[in-house]
Amino acid sequence: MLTRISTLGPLLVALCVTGAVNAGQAFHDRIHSDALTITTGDDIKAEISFGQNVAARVLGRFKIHDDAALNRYINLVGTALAANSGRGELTFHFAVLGSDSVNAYSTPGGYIFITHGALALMEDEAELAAVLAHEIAHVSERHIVNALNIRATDNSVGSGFSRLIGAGNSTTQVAFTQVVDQAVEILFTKGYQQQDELDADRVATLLLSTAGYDPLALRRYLERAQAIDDENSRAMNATHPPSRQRLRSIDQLVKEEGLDSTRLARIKTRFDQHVSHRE
Amino acid sequence: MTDFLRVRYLNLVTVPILVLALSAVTYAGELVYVQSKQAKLLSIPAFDGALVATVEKGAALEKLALQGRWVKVSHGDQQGWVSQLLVGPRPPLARESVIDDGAADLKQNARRRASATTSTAAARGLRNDDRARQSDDSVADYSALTEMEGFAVSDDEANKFLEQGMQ
Repeated sequence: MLTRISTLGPLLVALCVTGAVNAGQAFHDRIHSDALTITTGDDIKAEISFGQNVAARVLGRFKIHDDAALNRYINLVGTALAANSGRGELTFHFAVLGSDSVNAYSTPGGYIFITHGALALMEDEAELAAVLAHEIAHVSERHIVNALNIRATDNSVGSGFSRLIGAGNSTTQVAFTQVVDQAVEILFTKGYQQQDELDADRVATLLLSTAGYDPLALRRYLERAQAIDDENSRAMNATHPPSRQRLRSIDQLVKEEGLDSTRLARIKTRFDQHVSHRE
Repeated sequence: MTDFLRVRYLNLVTVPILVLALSAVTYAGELVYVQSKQAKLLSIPAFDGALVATVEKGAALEKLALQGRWVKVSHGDQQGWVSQLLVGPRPPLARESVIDDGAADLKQNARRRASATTSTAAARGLRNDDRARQSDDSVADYSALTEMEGFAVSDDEANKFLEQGMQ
């Protein structure tokens, strides 16, 4: 009996090891999972074009905050982060929206928005980078593309984006408009799938570490936002998972990666110089 | 050697072999490519690992192992760990743009929600200023989009700014 158990031992241990690795890889398997579906220049152009139309809808609702220096600052911080996102084929664009609500948005193709209300809640540049990184992650992981099923269904040249846009006839235009409407609905009403939000938090935390920012910055920001329960913070809460759940998810990643021992840059002085609410 | 000890000895040998065999079968000869402008190879799978080497965008790295969000790779005669975020299974794509580059077919979508009068314009494609005129201000603002696209900074400029902040 002892011999039989011992003989099975290596197999059981190996299976357990493999199972643990698989469980630990669940998040890894989700991130970059669509890396093979959009592979041509036309596909990327189509994604950007789609994103432009969704972005124009965001800008139809909110005006860009009239502060060129602040918008430049946001672009400098965001572009450096996006360089590590794995979407080097995109030029990311960032803008501050003149809204007191606490929120941020992103569209396929790399258009990222952050409200002035969200900026007012932040303490340092690492927290700004954290929120931008969360939105970059929605783009890099193609969450809207997946949610709307705008993907290639075979190995032919051209993704769902290209097919959606390329034909140029009236039927295609109607379909395109409907998909833009759905994307806008995700941004403003429905929100992303809960798992997508949690993954974006985790990718953002890793992006922060890669760039050299304090990896706990997103956690700090969310904790502060959670403590505020007013009209301005409800916009974010309506489209995101409960903050407690997000904090737990980040804590788990921080523990797995040992990030709590690698407190990096917060950059408070430069943030205060650029963000006018502190003057 | 008793049977018990022999079996224990056997386990000590076979478990690592089984685990190694699983890894070897999965990654033998598999390449990953650097997607970011640069990627750091670190001595351990953690952000505070010692720097082994810095590799440039597009570099092909042989995948040796995977641990969490870290990939162990070899590059020339060096081995190290790189963040999963910075590598991908295919060479990086070239930077793309559709900002006023004449990609007419893709810009036709700017006519969405416009009336039949825009069908002629569709045939020639639309530049940003055309799109602005056709925007429904209550729904979409293409002028603001053009303004936003004008904020773009280069990767080099952004990286220098980041490095200044870290000093």
